[in-house]
Amino acid sequence: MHKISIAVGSKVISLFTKTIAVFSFVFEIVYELKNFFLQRKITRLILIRQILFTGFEAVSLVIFIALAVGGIIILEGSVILPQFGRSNLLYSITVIVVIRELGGLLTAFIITARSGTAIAAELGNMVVNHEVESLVSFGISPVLYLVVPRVLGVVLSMVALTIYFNAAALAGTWIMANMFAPIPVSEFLYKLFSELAIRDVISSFSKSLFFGFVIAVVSSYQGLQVDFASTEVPQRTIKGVVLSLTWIIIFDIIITAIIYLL
Amino acid sequence: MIPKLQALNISYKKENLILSDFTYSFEPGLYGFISDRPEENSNVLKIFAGLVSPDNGSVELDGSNVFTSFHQKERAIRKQIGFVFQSGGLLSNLNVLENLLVPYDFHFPDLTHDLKMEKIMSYMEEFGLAENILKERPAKLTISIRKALLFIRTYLTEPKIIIYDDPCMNCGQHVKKIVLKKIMNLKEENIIQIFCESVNVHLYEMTDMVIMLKEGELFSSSTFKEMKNSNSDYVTGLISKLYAE
Repeated sequence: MHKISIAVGSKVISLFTKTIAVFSFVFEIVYELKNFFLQRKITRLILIRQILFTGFEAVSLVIFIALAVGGIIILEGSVILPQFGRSNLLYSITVIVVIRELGGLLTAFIITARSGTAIAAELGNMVVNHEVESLVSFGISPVLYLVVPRVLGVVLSMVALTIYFNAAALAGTWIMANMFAPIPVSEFLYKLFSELAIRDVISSFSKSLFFGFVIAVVSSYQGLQVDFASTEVPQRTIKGVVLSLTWIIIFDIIITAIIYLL
Repeated sequence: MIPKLQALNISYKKENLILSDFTYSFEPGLYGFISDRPEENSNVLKIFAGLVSPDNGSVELDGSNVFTSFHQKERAIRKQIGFVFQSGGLLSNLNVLENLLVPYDFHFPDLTHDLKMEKIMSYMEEFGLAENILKERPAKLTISIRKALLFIRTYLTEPKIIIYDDPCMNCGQHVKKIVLKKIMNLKEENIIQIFCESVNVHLYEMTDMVIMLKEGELFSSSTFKEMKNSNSDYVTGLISKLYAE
């Protein structure tokens, strides 16, 4: 019994310590945002590279997946909904599934797989190679130089890619819908936008912001937790992916609930 | 202003006791560290550079604690301390020029790019490095060139305190020669240079003071010549071990 209480106690203390460390990390990121703009001469390059890698280089993958997802939704909807006599819900379902849910979620999954892993592995290797230590020796905060540009880069890319995803998925639905029954673009867009509410846009935008922040913060934190052994790098990278996906789902539920409550 | 670096009652334990109630005052000159636990020398130097926080005690540069965060005031302290790593330390995702410019841009934002380039090129020439490597990533360069770049990056910001972790390790003959000459030249200026060395023992012969540690405690502090003539078995034993290695 005594041993169990010691084990439980140390688990609780360890969880509490880790929580405090994560919150301090997030607080430091917010604090260093101000310095990021003051020190943009040295941090701008990192931001541009992050946007190039996370945003620009992922565009083709995101568009390809979005076109396919949009096509599949219309294909399934066109087959299933008429069986229930609810063909009129097709556009409504498209908006709900693509704009409110899948746009942000799938883009976040793609960014976690591409950029989250890259950030955790890169920062982990930087710790092992004393690169982070050398920044500290200059007096440059690793959070300011390494983390803040990555957070900004991932968040901006996430917002942009979600917009691209939504647009491409809707294009995919039109292409597939056209195969069943030709429909002019103007009519398609009219029907689609008449189902689109401002809260759908707010939901998509806020999710992309939060998901981007979560991916960058979790991946950076895990990368910087590596402690001078290269074998820790893949372990921390995997942990970063698992935690990012977990927190993305949690935030998705929270934001969806808030949007429905409003 | 003459810099003064003070280690005050420092204790630090990792797996072994690395420093125990260590107090020392560094004034301009060249200092070498010798310890019965040479594997811990890097940690000792990193404590003086403010890179590793001790369990107890403080390191003060001109009365200001170096173990501080990264706020504006503390940047001024960090600017004055340069650290040459044993290996690694160059940012792998930046090219050589970008690597050299990171601390330079950070500490000297008002200096023009041309002036910075002029100084970088003068160091490149001094170390016998070709201009075309400026566009290369560190991974493409030899270990000796990478080490030379670590020296250049440190010297560029003109720190008052330079800490070298095994300065001759990974250096080719040419770079080693330049580094030793540079260290000797800096001895003439108001700069505190601290090192530990495992490759070139003769560097200890150039020092103003050799600090000897025994189980983390300050055992003695004297010139290398005095140490060589010491009656202490511990001192002579460590010195002969150094030469044997």
